Amino acid sequence: MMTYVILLSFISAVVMSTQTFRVAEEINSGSLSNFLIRPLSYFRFNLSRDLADKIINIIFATIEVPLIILIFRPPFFWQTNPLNLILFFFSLVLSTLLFFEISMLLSLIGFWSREVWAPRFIFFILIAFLAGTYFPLDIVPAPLYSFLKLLPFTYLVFFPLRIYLGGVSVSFMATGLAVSSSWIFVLYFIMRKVWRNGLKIYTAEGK
Amino acid sequence: MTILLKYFRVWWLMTSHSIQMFFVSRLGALLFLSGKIMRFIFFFGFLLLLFTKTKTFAGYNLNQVLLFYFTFNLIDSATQMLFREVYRFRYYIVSGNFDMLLVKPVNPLFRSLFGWTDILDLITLGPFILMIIFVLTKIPAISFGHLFVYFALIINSMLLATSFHIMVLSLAVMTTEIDHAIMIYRDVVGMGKLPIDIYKEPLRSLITFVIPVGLMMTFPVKALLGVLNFRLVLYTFIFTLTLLFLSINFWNYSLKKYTSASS
Repeated sequence: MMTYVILLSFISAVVMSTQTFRVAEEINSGSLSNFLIRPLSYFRFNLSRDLADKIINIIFATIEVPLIILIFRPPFFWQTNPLNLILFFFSLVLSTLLFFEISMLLSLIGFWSREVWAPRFIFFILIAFLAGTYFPLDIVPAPLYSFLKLLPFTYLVFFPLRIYLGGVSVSFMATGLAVSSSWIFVLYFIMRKVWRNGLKIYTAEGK
Repeated sequence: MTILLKYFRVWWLMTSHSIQMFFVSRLGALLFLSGKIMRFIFFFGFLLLLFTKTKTFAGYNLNQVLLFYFTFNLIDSATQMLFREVYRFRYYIVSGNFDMLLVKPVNPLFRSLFGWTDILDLITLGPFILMIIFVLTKIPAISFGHLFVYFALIINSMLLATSFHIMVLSLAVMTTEIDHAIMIYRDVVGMGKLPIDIYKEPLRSLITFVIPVGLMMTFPVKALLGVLNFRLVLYTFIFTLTLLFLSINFWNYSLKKYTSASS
């Protein structure tokens, strides 16, 4: 359990750090126009901005987490199985992409409304509970757990953690990777569609 | 008394402005309120789920744990309601607009703390109080004496929260840093959702006597349940008064360092 809690702070720092909230600000202030005229992909630019932010968080997390372990000496489980470790890092990459897409979609609301913080607030509350940051999802009743496994939130935090902790079947890992990859695929197309529709009504208001 | 009335009128004026702003962005406000309610319900559901697997939690039964959780929400929401202006304080410092607060015939600390009342948190206070009363009826052997100490310690918790917010404001005056300081405060205080008895030593002592989350969130309920000795109650009051004194001094010191840059 302590490994779950400690690793949770590391995964949250990696996966859930984002700068995509700036997208909504850029749309609402009209400064998005500055990016549109540049010869760069706005999505790749934002992904790079997110990754830069994550690197800072990873540096701090790699200092903080060992420090916590050293000071409080909690029972920490070190995974040694190479398969679990490889899949853990792979699932972290998928989680990062998934989170980026969801977060971008939330910011794109800015094309239609100035109320962009409230949906983001609700989203983070949903994540806190449905991604496993408050408690491991497999303690909920089986039917609810089966339903949660279909949602993208499960693959943001709980799934990578569960792979690291081990004791899960190969089919659990394979299904999880397939579902999270599918979500990335689906959300990518939704994101592109929303972006194109948003641009049609973008008026550079505020500039 | 006249001064108190004056400040109450000023607070009321600022609060009425906040309420008017609530009606300007109704959709956003409703979404925020829904989020707060959702967060409360999710955690409540988690506690109920927890008690389907165990009979006691850190030695407390379900009703007692719910009392801890509801009391935490009451103190936290009341704090958020009163001190929302602290979250906007950085703007005044970096823009130099704090000068405008300094020249007004109202105490700048009062203005910086109470300038914005969060109506959304105010809305949630009533239901929290009702839920506390409901749970109290389910817990036997609560005396009026314990109830009195409970109320006194809740007021004490509000004073502790005030001290923390004053320190955050002072830090902002000196460094322009506020967002991270308030985030640390929120995260640490969040540990008080559940009785601090669930944490192991040395963490438990750390969050009781050094970072007083325990004094703020757990001690009022422990006193109500009759499991807190008188010396600790006394210690809590002395600690709070000392911290309040120190925070006000820190604020006065920070004002001397204010450079009015950007104005």
